[in-house]
Amino acid sequence: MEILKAQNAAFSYVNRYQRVDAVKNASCVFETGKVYAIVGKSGSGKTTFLSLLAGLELPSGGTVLFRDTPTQKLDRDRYRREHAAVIYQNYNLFPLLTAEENVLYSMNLKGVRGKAARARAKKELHAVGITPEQFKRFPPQLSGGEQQRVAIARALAAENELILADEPTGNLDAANGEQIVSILLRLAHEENRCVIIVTHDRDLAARTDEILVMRDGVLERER
Amino acid sequence: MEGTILKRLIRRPWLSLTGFLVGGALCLLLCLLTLHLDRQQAHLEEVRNSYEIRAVVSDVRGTKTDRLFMSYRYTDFLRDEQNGLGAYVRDLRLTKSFDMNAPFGTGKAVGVTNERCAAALDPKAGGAWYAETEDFFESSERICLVSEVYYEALAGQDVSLTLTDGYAIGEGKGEYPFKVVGWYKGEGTNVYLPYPTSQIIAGQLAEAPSTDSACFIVKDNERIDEMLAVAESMFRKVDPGEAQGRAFALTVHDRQYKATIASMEQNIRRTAYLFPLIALMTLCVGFTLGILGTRRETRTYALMRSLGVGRFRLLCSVLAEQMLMPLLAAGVVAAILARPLPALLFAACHFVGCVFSVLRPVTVAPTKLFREQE
Repeated sequence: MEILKAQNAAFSYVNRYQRVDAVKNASCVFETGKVYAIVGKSGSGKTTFLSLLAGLELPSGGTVLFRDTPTQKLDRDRYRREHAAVIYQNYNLFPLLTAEENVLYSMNLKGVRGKAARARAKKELHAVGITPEQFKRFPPQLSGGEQQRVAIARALAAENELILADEPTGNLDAANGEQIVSILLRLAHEENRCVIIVTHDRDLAARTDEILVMRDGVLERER
Repeated sequence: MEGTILKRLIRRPWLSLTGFLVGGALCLLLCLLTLHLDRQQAHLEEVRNSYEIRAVVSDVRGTKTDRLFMSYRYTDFLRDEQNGLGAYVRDLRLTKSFDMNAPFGTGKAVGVTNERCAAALDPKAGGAWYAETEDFFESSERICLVSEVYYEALAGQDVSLTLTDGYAIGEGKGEYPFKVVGWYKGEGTNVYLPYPTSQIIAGQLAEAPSTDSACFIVKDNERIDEMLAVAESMFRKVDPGEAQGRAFALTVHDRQYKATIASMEQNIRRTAYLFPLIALMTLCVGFTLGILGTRRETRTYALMRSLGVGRFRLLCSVLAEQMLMPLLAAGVVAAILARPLPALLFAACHFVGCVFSVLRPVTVAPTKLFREQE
């Protein structure tokens, strides 16, 4: 089922001295139950395109539609809170909250609180391989792989139908990376979510359902 | 959300403690300033109410304040509450002197309205007196006080005093029996009489009673100008070039009072000027603390936005985080010193400073903040 659509979406970074067209007329359709990989060189506009899909930026041309509603017309805070979860390459965890509290935070934002929320947070942390001893640790006390898994647990706990991951395995070793990829594939195929992964990793991209290539801001379908 | 704020505050204790201490110090400064101002105001009021301003009647040239031989019209004017100065006068001191011959020597017989008219009677000037009769100074009887050295021999006896009134056109002399009812401190031969008695005798010796000196304390220091306006109908201003005549001048010795009040009011104004300065300082400190706090936390705020926290909610959250500790400190200081107003002023200024400091992380797109951080 179609959930997200880009129609000639464009985005430019403009400052006093120059204008950089990061995304040029990108069009594609994303469906639930599928995993998409967006590949491309560094600086090709992959992360910017992901930001447009996440509603973190608005396209300067064209539109991005979530369930046929342009993101310009959406309550984008609510959209990110209830529909789209973003996983960042550099984890972006709250440094002053423990692993468990980081996961609880996104649930609390959706109004899920109390014992049920804590139980679910623990379950999701456990699912990504975080041990109970690590639940109470602060992000700086966790390794990069562990932090990334906490970030994924946070996205899982939010139960959003759209998961946007920016280089989720970029900082992980092969074993941890494999575990994360398996989780993301399972989310799409078993829980009918739409997972969009921005990656350099061709092997990871090969395991997804569709591959989109970003070249100098132009999006092309590879498979 | 609220729990998260508290956790974050507890988990960065130094920043929280700094906020608490700075907030407490600034609020204390404001409280102390208001306390100081209140004390100065109270002191000013005390001076206004208790400062004794003396007004003295003199001849129109200002050369003498005694042996004025003022007619009763002037003393009546000083006492008249409706059309005279009675409403502005406190502790009126009138004297009337006669040259006196007594069995124990010569001297003056002085009619006085109260003990402060003569140094020998006034305890504040080192004098002392005693009278067997109650309300000695209001009496119209022929009673008198003699010095303590003669009192032992004359107590309760009548003495014959020969009195001469200098105001009389003719001889103005007469002999009167006076009962000795008390004493005053000293060895002099002068005799003190009640002022009403002196006026009766003066009326008999010189056909019209007169008064030698008059002075009083101004009843309400804030109404001096009003009093002088009323006094203009009877008294003139001192003019050294004026020909000596039957006119009298009223001089109010308020220069020192006015200088004191002006100086105190200036001090209060200067202290009050500090208020906006400290308020501005509080605003700047709020801004600086806010900037320090938000710069460290920019990534956190961007993350909150990217997770779906709305701008307004983020603003409230950041403000609560920035202001909680300083406001707590301000509350403690205000409660201890019982000064809610400075705490409110502090809160308002700190709030404005903090709002300016958090505007950027709240309004700028989270991706831009992430990029800046990277």
